[in-house]
Amino acid sequence: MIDEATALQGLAMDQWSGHVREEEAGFFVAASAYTDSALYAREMEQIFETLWVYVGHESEVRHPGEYVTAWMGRQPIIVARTKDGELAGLVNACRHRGTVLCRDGSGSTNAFRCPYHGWTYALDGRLIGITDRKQYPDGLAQQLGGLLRVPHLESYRGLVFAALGSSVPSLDAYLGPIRAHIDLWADGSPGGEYVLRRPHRFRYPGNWKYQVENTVDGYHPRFVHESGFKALSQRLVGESDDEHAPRDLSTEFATEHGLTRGFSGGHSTLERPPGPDEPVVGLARFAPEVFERYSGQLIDRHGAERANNLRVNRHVFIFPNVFLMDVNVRVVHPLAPDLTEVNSYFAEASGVDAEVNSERLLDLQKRLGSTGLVGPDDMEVFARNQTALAAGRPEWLVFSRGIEAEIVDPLGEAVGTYSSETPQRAFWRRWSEIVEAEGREG
Amino acid sequence: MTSEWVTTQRIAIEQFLYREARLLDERRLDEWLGLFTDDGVYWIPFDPKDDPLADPSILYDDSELRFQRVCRLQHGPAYSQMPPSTTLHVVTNIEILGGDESSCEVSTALVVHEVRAGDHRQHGLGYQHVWPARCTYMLRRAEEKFMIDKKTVLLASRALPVPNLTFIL
Repeated sequence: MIDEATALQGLAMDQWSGHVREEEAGFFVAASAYTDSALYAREMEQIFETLWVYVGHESEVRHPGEYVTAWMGRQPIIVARTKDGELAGLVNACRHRGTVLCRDGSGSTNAFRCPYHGWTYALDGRLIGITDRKQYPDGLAQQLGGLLRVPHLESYRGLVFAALGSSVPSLDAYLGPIRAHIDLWADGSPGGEYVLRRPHRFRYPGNWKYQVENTVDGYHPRFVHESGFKALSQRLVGESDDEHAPRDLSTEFATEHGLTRGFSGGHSTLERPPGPDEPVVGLARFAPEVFERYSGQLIDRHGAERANNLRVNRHVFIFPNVFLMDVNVRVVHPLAPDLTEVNSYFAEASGVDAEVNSERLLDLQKRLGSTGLVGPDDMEVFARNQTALAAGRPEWLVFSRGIEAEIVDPLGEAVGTYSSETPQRAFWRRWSEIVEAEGREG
Repeated sequence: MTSEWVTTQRIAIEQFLYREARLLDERRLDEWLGLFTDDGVYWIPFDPKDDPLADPSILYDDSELRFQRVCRLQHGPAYSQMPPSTTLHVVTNIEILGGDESSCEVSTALVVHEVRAGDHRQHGLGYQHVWPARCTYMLRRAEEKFMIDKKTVLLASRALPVPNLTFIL
C-alpha cells in the first residue's frame, strides 16, 4: 500500500517528465511543452528564477547612479551601478509593502524612493530611510537590511548575467565552451567593446521556445524568408553599380554551407562563413573601401586567421534565452505560454568608421524587427504553431534532422550541418534536465 | 511664406495627402512609390531628433528599400501579410508650417485603423489595431504637382513593442 505522499510524488514526476524523447526512431518533443500552463510556471521557477539569465549590458549602466530594470522570469529587478562602480542586482520591490520602486526602463539616480510611504534605498539596496521611523520597533532597518539582493550577478565581455537560485555553478562553469564563441562575437568590435543601443521590441502570440529554436535554425530561411530574400536582391531600375549590389540571399541560403554546434549546457551556434572575396562581415555588405579598412582593423588586432573567423555570419545562443547575432543582441522574454516579447539591441561597434555602424544598423533594420522584410514572417510561423498545438495534436514534434551526420566529441559538443537540428536537440536535452529533474536545482 | 500662398495651396496639399492615404488603403503601391522624389525618405523614428544613419529607427526607407518593400508585398509570399491588412488612413489636423513655391513643410495627425481578418480565431489573426501618429511631410512642388521628399511618422506607440508593421502607414 503506497502512502499518499509517495503516490503524489509519483504523480508529480509524471507531470514533469516525458516531454522529450531521444530514441532509435529519432528525437521528439511533446506539443504540450509549448502550451501547458503548469509546465510554463515550472520553467519560470526552475530556469528563469533560478539559473543564470541575461539581465543587461555594461554599456547600459556605465556610470555610478545609472540603472536599468530587467526581468528574471516573473521577477522584476534593477541592475544599478553603485557609487563604488560595482554592479548591484536588486529585487525591484519595497521591503515595506512590496511596491515596485522603479518604473522607468532606465535612468540615473542617487537613491530609490518608494512612492507609497517614502522609504528610501541606496544604489546598493541598503535601506537608508524609513519615514517617521519612531512608530516602528527599534532596529527594523537593521533587521531588514535593504532591498533583497539578487544573489549572483556577474558579467562576461560586457554581458551581464544574474541568478536567483541560492547555489548555482559559477558563470564561468555555466557558460563553459560557449565562452569561446562569445569571444568571437565580442572580438568583432575593433575598439574592444560594443555599446548596446535602444532596442527594437516586438511580441508574438506564441511560446518563447519557438523563437529560441528558430534563431539557430538553418533549415527554414529559404522557405519562410523567400519573399524577403527575393525583394532584397531587387534593384531600382537604372542601378548598375556592382560595388553596391545587394546580396542574393535566396541563392545563398538554398545551399548547405556552414555548420551548427550544440553543447551540453544547452548553448549552441549557427555559423555560416562568407565567401573569401566578398566585402562582407556577418550579413552586412560594405562598400569596398570601407570593408578594406574594417577588415584591416580586425586583422591588425587579431591576426588574419582569427579576423577571417570573425567575419562568419554567427548566431551564438546562451541558454535559456539570449542570442549574440551579427550586429545585435536578441533577448527572448516569456510572458505567458502563448505570448512572447523579443527585444533586439543594435550593438554599435567601437573604433570603426561611422559608415561601418551605419551599414550594420541599416542592414539589421531592413531585415529584422516589426517592419523588416525578413523577421516578421517568422512571427507568423510561431502564431501558426501555437494555433495548431492548442489541443495537443500532433502529440510529438520532430527534431531528428541531421542526427546521422552529427559528430559528437568526448566533451559532448555536437557539430552538425548548417540545417541540422543540432542546436534544438542541445536545447531540449538541457531543458529536460532542468524542468523534468527530480527536486529543485539550487 | 505669405498667407495668400497658403490659401491657394492649402486645398492642393490636402487633396494630395488624402490621395496618398487612399492609394495606401487601396493597396495601389506602385502609384504610392511614384509620389516620392528619387531621394525621398519614409521614416518611422523613435525620436525625430535622431540621426537615422546612426540611431535605431522603427523603419528607415530610402528609395531602394521602399521599392524592395513594395516588391515583397506584391510578389510575396509575404506570410506576415497573408492575409493582408485592411487599412483606413485618417488624415487630419493638416497644417502648413512653412515653405515657398518649390517646397513646403506640412504637419498632420494620422490615425491608421488596421484590421487583419482571415481565420480570425487563430493566434496572430483576427485583430484590430489603431496606429495614431504625428506626421511631418517635406513636399516638393514641380510642374503643378507635389511629391514627397520626406515622410516622417512619429508613432504615439513608439516606446511600446511594435506589432506587425509590414503594411505601410
